[in-house]
Amino acid sequence: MAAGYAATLSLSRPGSAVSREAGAVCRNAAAVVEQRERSVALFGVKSVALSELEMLAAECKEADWDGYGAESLHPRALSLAKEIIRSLPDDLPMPTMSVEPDGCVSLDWLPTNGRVFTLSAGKTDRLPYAWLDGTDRGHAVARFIGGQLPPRIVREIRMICGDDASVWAA
Amino acid sequence: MGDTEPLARFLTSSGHFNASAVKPAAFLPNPKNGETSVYRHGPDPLEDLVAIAREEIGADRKVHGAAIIRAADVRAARLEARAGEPPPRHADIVGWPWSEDDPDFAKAAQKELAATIARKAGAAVRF
Repeated sequence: MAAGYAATLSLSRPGSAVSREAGAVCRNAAAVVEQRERSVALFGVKSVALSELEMLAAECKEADWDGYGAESLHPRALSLAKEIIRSLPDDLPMPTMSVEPDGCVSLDWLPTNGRVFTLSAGKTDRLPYAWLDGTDRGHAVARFIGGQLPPRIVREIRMICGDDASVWAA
Repeated sequence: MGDTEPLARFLTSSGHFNASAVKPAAFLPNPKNGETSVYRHGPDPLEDLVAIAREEIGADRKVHGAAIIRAADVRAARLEARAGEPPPRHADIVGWPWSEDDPDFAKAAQKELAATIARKAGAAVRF
């Protein structure tokens, strides 16, 4: 079932195909994906995270949503953030999310006050990220290719979260 | 501005904090001017801070609370806190990494610094 869902998810992404048939396949696949994600029983915590993201999107859809002149949430950033959430391995804690002043979505893993992993989903497939782990800290940019986070990113999130799966509830 | 001076960043998005802490996004700079707007809090009671938030952010906008840091926290992150009146008590966190050539890498650097400052804020002060 998981393999079938992954294949459907892949088909649901807008691609380069332009034929009417290809468009219909993409729309139908997207409907199947949406239907499945509405079921918490099947999609679990990811469904909750996607709902949280939709609430933030509604809050930040207009420019200056923060009162400091922020840009409105960029549609591409929203769709990329959803793709990232869907792609996360099932045993990885879900991030909490926030919208950034430039209209990007931040996915944050914050297991303790001293450990942070924060990743931005923006207007391209390039993902700026940063981490704090005690006195160790850094930043870099990765790419979201083929609907998957790079294995290095997943490893780093696991390291930050450690054995503590009780990542902050939003 | 002295190192011990408290600075308040008003939290206007429900996604910028939770019960335990303030998230890094709350401190990221405005993309238009590259600065993060804060208010000098001083020893004033919380009610004064709430009044400033209502006046400066706007009565029609929900202000959930504030993240309180000190100027030293900003400087420890290799940024600077600079007075920026008007309005009264306004200040800016300036010196954020910026790059036209590689904005994504600059954004990553900003996120590291924002996370460093947010960690110092601890839990949000709720209004």
